[in-house]
Amino acid sequence: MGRTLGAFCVLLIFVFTISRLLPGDPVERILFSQSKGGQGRLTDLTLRREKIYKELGLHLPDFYLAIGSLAIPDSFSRIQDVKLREAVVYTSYWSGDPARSFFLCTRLKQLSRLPLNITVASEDGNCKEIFSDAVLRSDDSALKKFWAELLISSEENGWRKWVPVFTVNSDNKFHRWIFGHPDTDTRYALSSDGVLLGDLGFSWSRGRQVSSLLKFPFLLSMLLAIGTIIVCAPLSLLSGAFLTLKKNSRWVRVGHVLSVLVYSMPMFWVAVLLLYFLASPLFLNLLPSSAPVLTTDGSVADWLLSIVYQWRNFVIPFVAMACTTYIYHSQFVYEMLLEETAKPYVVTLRAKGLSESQILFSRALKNITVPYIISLLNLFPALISGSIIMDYLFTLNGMGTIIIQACDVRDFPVIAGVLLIVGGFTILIYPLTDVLVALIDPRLKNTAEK
Amino acid sequence: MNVKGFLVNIFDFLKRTWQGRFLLVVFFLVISAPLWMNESPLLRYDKGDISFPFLSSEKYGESNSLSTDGWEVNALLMYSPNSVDPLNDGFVGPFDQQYQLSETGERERISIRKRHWLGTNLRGNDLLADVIYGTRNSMIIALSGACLSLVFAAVLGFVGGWYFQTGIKTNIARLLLSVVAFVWILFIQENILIYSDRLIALIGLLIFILPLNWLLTRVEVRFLQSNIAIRIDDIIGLISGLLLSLPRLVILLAIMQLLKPSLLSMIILLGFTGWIELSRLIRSEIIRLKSNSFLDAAVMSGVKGQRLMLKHVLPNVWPSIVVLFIYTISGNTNIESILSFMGMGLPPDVPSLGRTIGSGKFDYEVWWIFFLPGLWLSMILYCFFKVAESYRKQLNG
Repeated sequence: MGRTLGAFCVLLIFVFTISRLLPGDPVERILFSQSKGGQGRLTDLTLRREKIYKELGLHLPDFYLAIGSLAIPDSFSRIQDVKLREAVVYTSYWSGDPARSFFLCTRLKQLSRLPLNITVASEDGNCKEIFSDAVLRSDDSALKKFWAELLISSEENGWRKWVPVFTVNSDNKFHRWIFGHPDTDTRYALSSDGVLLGDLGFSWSRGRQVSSLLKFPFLLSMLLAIGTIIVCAPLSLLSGAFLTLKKNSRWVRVGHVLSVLVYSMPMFWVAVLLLYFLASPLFLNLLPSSAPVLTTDGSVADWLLSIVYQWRNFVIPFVAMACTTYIYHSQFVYEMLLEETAKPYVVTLRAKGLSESQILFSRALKNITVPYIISLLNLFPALISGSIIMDYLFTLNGMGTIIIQACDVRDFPVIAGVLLIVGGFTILIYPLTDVLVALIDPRLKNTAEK
Repeated sequence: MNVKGFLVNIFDFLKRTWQGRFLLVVFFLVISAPLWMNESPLLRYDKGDISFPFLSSEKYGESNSLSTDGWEVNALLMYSPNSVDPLNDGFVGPFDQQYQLSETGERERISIRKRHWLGTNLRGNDLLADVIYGTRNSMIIALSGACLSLVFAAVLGFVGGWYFQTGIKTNIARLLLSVVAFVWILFIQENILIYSDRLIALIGLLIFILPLNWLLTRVEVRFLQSNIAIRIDDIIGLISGLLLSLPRLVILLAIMQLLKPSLLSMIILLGFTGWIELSRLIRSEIIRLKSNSFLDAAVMSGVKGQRLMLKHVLPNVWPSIVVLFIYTISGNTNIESILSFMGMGLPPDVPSLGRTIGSGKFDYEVWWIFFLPGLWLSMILYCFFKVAESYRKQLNG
């Protein structure tokens, strides 16, 4: 129990870090993805950028503890314009005077004389020349006076960049994501209850609740994965036992080579081959190759019904996912049974006069159930991967499409939501495995409880 | 550990089965591909000077016409992945009629050296060149990625297994110093913007830390000298359990855009996500080894550190690692092709098997574009699988 909780905590921090590390400005990408066709007016764009910036809470620091320096205080993260923020940060880093740097840069921006190549130039440390050039070319006398003051103060304040400043923030992005925040400003109806209470937040690019956005994709992935496990478990058990019974037959050996060949094929290629042979006009035109249309605005029952009506669209993805699992596990059962039948108790059973099939089905299979179930459930992450590939290939509107689009527009709540749901579900499966194993074999109860 | 002897061993093992021989041949052919499959000539003599155009990265165009006494040595097959053949564009199949321009400028049947053996795609790119260079890239990525994971896994697995249940013994002074160093490095990462300043800050850290370390280990303060054990194994176990609980494909899709897409970034990302199984295996092997008395004997007779690891531990752990290492290589090949298939992997100008398959996935008429590269990829993966299996069987006796 404690282990599972610890795993959840680490998962939360990991997911947060991963999704925040992605480079690029989310606001720019969201604006770009929203403005289809016509270019908005400049003031309109600025207003919208400001609105999105405040809605997303991007002005907040990332974590409870932040490290800044005297030259770069963390209040700089409130500057919304990326270009302006970079200019201010680099100027302040060079001069060690945050307030004066901020005023200089904003004034230069008003005069639209802000140097654009500031980041590149500052890598070499010649920020000063670029700025003096920009200031001297302007006619603003106040600005020139201000620049002279900054030059003098920069000689005294050069040391300030070396001094770390630690700030503790009670209100930050991580806190809001975990515990939620009440919405005091009525303009932005974006309050959330936080991840801890199961509220994954609001999708930035699609403007919907993440949980409602991910509901059906997640159910689809679960359906494919759990369906694969349910179908493959008895089948592979039976065929493994059959292989053990007929292990000296030539056909079994040929079948073994073929199944290893199919097992080593990449899953997407198997699916493409199935499409070519079963769903193309060149060979058998049995199944449709088009994407299914699922009803995602109704209840789960409606959605399930729409899947049942269009079951022909799901045959190929399901078979492509299942055949890898099936082959792997029938080989697994085969090898385990070979080991099992070499044990002394099987010799005794044979001496007593039991037939091979009696030995296998009533004795040996019982003994391999526990490792078999563990291996099946450990396959769960791989099955989720498989469902994502199938989703991409057949446009099923599952987790795959969602996460690719979300990464493209840096839609942080959606990325975090996908990672959190998938990881959380898998973490929950491990204690489930323990319980299941303890139910099947009471001898293992003590080891499961540990 | 004898590296040369080890390589010879692997070579001997690979030679024994036909799958291993196939892999060896493919590997050497694919690595030497620029020598026998290239659109630029290997050697060129013109106006008295000799040059090697295949070494330069720029495209060898029609403008480099030879003078009358010049000559050039061409590669065996004269196509590169992005070379366009305008006479045979628009999906020419491997068995279709293909054309070339004769000396007089007429269309004639293609000669055997210029033939597109696997056909072309819409733009007239040679499919064989795509497949060969795609295999080259995926082999480079898979091997280097697996090596990177192995290095990670070795370090983390060794540490986890060696300090299993005991933890690294240290004192509070050392712990404090490492925390200070870590915080300072975070500070540099966030707030020191210029590279020369970063260097100064790092040197400053060393100058600050080393005397302080010396001082703290000698000054008698009971609080600072008290021993603690860091349960490093639990920490590594937590991280690897986390990475194991998320599907590798999902992690890779999420962090694919951290780095600019290229061969190197692919290697790094695959290396960073593929170490978990390897490290768990190494850890359990080390824990198993530690109960053997020969290690105690080696420690008692004064063998230490590197020599202990390399001479006594590694040779015993190595054989079981090799099997999983081969599986890691084939898994890397697989996942690279999946990512490229989904359009998230290598950049568009770098040939890759997955993208070649993906580019023809719904064109049923042009079967060669998805069928032949896929067959080739499955063949390679099958051989990796069989080699690992026979190695495992040899280990088990």
